[in-house]
Amino acid sequence: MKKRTVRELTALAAMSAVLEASKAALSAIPNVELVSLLFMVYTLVFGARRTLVVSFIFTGLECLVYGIGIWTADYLYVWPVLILFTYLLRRHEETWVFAVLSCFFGLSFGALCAIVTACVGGWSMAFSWWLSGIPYDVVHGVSNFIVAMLLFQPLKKALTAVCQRMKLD
Amino acid sequence: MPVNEKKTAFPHNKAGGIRNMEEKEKKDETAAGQTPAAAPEKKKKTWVPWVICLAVIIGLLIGISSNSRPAVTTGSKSVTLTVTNKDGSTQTYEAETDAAFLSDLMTQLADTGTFSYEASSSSYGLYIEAVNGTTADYAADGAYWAIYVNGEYGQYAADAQPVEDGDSFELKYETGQGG
Repeated sequence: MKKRTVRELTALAAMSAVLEASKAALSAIPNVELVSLLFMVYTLVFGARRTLVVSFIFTGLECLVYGIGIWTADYLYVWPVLILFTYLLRRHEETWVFAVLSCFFGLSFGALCAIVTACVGGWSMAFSWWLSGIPYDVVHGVSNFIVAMLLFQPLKKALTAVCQRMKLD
Repeated sequence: MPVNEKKTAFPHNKAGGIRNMEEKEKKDETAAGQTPAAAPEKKKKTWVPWVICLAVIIGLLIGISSNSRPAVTTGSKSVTLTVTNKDGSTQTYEAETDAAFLSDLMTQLADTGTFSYEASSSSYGLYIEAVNGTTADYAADGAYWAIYVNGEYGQYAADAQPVEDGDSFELKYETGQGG
C-alpha cells in the first residue's frame, strides 16, 4: 500500500473542506448544490481513488454537523456511485456529458436513497418516500444540469492548476 | 488563482491528449465565433438526444408525482380510528371531523377523548412514537406504530395522510417488517 504523504493528506483535507463549505453555503436553497459538480471534477482532476476517500470524509463531516441518520447510509453509496460513473466517462471532455450525468444523478437521487428506506421500512414505504420526493428530485436534476454547464470547465481548469501546484502524482 | 496558466495538461486525457488540449485551448481563445471544421456540429448532434431523454424523464416524473398526490377534501366527515395495542386488544374511536390529515384527527381525538399520542417530526413526516401511553421503540425491538387506511398498509405519514368521509384508520403496534 502506498504511503500517504503530508501533501496528499492536505489535499484530501482541503477537498473535503471545500465540499463541506459549498454544501453549507447553498444549504438555504433546497437541492441546489455544488457537491455533485465538485465530486465529478475531483474525480477527473484528482483521480477516483482519492475522491472516494474524500466522499467518506465528507459523509463523516456531515455526521458531525447533522448527526447520524438514515441518510448516512445513503451518503455512503450515492457519492461513490457518482464517482464511479464519472470515472467511466473520464475520457470525455465535453461539458454536456457531465451536465447530463449530473442531471441523471439529481433525478435518481431519491430513488438511490430509497434503497436504504426499503431496508428500514419495506418497499411500500420506500416507494411512497420516493414518490413524495419527486418534485425535489426534478429540481435537483435541473439545477445540477445548469450548475454543471456553467461551472464545470472553470472549476476543472482551476483545480487542474491547483493539482499541478500541489505536485500530486 | 492561476487559471490562465495555459500549458495545463489534464491527467486523464485521451491518447494524444496534448494535441487535443492545444486544439481545445485554441477553441477557447477564439471563443464563440469562427468554428474550425465540423467538430462542433458533431457535438451538437450527440447531446441533443440526451437532453431530450432527460426532458422526457423529467416530464414522466412530474406526471407520476402530480397524479399520485392525494386529493384532500374538507368538511364534516365521519371516520373511525382503531388502535391495536401491543397485546392485540383494540379500542375504536368514532369521530365527526373536519380534519384534513390523519394527524389533525389524532390531535382532535386527543383533545376531546381518552385517545393520546406522542409524535415527532422526521424527514419522512410525522413519526408516531407512542399511542395511548404505549411507546414503540424501534431501536430496542423493531417496534413501530403502523398506519392502516381502510385495511391497507398506509402510504403516507400521519401528517400527509388525507382524511376522507367514511375512512377507517388503524394504528397498529407492530414489530419487524410490516406490510
